[in-house]
Amino acid sequence: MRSLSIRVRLLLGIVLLVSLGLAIANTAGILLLRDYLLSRVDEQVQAIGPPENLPDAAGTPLPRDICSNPRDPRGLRSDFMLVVLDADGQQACSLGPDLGQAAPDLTDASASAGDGLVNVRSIDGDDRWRLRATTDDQSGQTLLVAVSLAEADATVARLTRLSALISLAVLALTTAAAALTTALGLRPLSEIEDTAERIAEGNLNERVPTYRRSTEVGRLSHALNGMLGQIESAFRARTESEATLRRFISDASHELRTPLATIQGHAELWRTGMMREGRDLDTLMSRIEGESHRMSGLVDDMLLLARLDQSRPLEQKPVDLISLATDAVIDAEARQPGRTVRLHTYCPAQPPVVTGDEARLRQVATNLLSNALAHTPPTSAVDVTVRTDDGYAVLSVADEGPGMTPEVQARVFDRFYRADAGRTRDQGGTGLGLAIVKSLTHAHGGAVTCNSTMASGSTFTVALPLAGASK
Amino acid sequence: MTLTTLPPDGDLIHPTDHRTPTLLVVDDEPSFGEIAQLWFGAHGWRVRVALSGPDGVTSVATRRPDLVVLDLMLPGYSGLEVLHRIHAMYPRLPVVVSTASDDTDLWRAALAGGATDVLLKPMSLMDLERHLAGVLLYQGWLRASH
Repeated sequence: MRSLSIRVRLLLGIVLLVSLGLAIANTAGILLLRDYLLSRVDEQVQAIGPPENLPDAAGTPLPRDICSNPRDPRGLRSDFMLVVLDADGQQACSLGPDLGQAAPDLTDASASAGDGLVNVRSIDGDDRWRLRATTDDQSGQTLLVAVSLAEADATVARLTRLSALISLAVLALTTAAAALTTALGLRPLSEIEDTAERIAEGNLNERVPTYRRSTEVGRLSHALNGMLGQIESAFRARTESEATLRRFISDASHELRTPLATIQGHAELWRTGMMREGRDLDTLMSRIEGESHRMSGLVDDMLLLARLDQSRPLEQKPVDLISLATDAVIDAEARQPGRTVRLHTYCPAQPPVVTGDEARLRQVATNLLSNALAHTPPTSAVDVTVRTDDGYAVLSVADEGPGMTPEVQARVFDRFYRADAGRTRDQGGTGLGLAIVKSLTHAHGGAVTCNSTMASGSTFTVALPLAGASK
Repeated sequence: MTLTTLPPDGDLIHPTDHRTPTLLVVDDEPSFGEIAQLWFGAHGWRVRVALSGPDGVTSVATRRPDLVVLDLMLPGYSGLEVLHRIHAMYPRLPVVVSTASDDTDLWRAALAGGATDVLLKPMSLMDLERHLAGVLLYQGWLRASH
């Protein structure tokens, strides 16, 4: 049964129930009719009583001693018989049509005297008769009254045949109607099944047709679509995450291979005797050292990002952003002595103290300033502002450089992203500085944004929750 | 491309007997250009260096190199763009791509764009020279046989 489809099972169930119902109804009807007809016959038999109560066809009562006053049997009903048995059980006389083999078999009839009404077969066994036996106490005779049940049986048989025919017709119509109804009713499920097959083939943006929520299929379709939406989002997020990881590994590989190529090249020059003398050797060693530092910085940045990706807990101590920004500005001025780097503070209500890892937050400020110094002309000023705003301590670094296009802004926090395909390492570091700013800010529960217009400069803003703020 | 006549180890050949071959290195990493100048210059090559895509394309037109070693990540034009422009000007000029990227899709794009071969950094300078010499020999053989 389980291997059958729902449609077939429903159809079988309906057909079975209808068949059962028809069978019960027909059986009850036939039984009721039979009982009714039998009771009618019984009434006739009961009504006969003593012979003198019986009128013949002409309405003349029969004599009490019917054997001594025979009547013409042709005047009596053909389905009616009166038989008188002597005290010794021998047939004294009978009244009724000559039915031959169709007459009731009265062989054991006297034995049933006083037992009420009984059914007996005709002599040929084809018909049934209803029989009552009454013993006359005075004469000792037994009067047998028999009424044929042939007509009643024929009526019941006709009704049975008719009921069977009607039932078959009703069953056929019901089956057809049920097949049509289940097909229509299950069509939404078929459509959902088709959609599910397309989704299984990899077409994740497919959705099952929706129906009214008041129906089971409607609720199912909405629930399925909700689930499919979540699966698609999760799948897309995973795909994007894998693509990002792949790109990161590829970029990291590229960034590590480049200084390695320089180191290997210089080592080969030395090995083949091309740079073994004095200044050449100093230059060579300086280059190798520089590239080693570059690789070291790159590895440090990559490891830091990897740790931040793992959401490892950071140190939680109060950090004053003014102190931190002051150090970063001093450091920037030391790196580019001619550069104008200004610090502004605006914290009227409370000091801009946040809870976090001081060394990491210092790195945020340093990276933002390094980025501004690297991508703006040496004559361009950089403004660092620290302020408090609605539960947040805000650090912003604004430059007066060339600004960025919206496309560059959208990707400026991506790992290894550079506005130009070239590495321009003389300007920047590892290409991970702003990505680290973003990761560190998020790790501290804050957010970083970038606003920039072409020719007007860029402003990077980091907002961190103030210490004790219930944000 | 498969080279079948490589010289033995340590016996670096000069690609032609008649003249000094000119090699153009297009790479935004200045140290790679300097190393190439030192190495190939010491082995009889004339070396030109371009640090950006536009410089590379201009140098090809003005210097008429015999061979180009091209990085794929460049400021200005991308390496593929440079390759396309060089190929459009001089379809038979061999361009060997030298990249630190292990993105094989990028390699395929370079080969489809007309690169003679793709080499992954870091590579030995000796191997690079042997490879480039082989390319030049093959080019000479092609010219001689046609």
